[in-house]
Amino acid sequence: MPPSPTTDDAALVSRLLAGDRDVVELTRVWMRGAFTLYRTRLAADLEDLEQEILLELTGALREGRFRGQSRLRTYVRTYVHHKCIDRLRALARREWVDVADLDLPSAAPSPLDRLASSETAALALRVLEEMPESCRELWQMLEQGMRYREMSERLGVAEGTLRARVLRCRRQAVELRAKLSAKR
Amino acid sequence: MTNELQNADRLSCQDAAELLPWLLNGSLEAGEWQDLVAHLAECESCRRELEETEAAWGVFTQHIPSLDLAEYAQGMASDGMDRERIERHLASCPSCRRELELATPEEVVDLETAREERRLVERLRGTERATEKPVRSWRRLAAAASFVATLSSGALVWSVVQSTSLAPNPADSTASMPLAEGVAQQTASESTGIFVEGFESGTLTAWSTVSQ
Repeated sequence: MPPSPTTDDAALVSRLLAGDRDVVELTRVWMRGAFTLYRTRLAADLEDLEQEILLELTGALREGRFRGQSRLRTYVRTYVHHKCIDRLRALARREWVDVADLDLPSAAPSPLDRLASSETAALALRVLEEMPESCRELWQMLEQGMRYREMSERLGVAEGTLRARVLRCRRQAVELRAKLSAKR
Repeated sequence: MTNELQNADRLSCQDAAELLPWLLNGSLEAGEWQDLVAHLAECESCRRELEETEAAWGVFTQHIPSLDLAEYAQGMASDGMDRERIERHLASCPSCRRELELATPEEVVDLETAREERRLVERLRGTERATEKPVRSWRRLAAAASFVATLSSGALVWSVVQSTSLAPNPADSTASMPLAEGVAQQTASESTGIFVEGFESGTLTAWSTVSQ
């Protein structure tokens, strides 16, 4: 039989959804505890993030998404970690170019949109697992926003050699993705 | 190479294809960027290469979904990615490993936050006690004597309680953490972070707010 929230947690959820000030404050205190290690990296975002998370959390609780697989405290803190990791990733991506902004002629939706689904995420991770470590390292450097000159200096290879390697890795990843996708 | 890139008409498709990953990560110089975008606007074949580069980009920048990672960090069962896949990815992804460190429960606890939590829990317990059944007096005495013994020895003890109050859930993995571990970050004088509950059930529980 699947777990269900304890009597205490069920009572807390009811009181939180009813707007009980003490329970709302307790929830905020739990959230602030989870924010501790993100304070430096997300200093400018924390206040807005706290409000955003509280709103989303109450929505999730109202929809019955808390099923008692953990204590409410753990559920709240897990949600905070989830949102903070998302925010850190978004900040790291802020220099990336959105191809849609390039205004190029294209009839197809962006492959990045298709990759948004969790099924596609699982497929991408499977492909990644099978890619050579040398390819993963090259693309990790790309993900960090490194210029090709920086990468060639760090790796001690000519720029032309580096670019050719990255291109080979790209083609290998796309072929493997197509192969694994066909097998599903 | 820089001279070639200054003239988009002379930018070969091979050069364009090779530069696409750096277009996506936003690190091309302004001149290179303009030349490449101008080439892409005119070359359908290279636009297809761009689509492939985006697909590869999506693969290489795929990480463990943040909710799955947070649940894994907290030791929770997840409806998402299975643990083996998560652990395989962690073995090769320094970025996800760093995020996992941030999300683990053993983070340093802000004492002010811990004290505020204790105050609120006590207050909530106070509103619950108004509707609780009276407890047998011998149990009160036993609990009080135990409490005094605990405080005077300075030892941190706790036991699993069957209680309807705000006690840790024995099914929750973190509830089994000995208080000694949970307060590792605190000094002896700060052990007042421990408080007692469980009078209702007749057994004594000491619950540290540092345990999770």
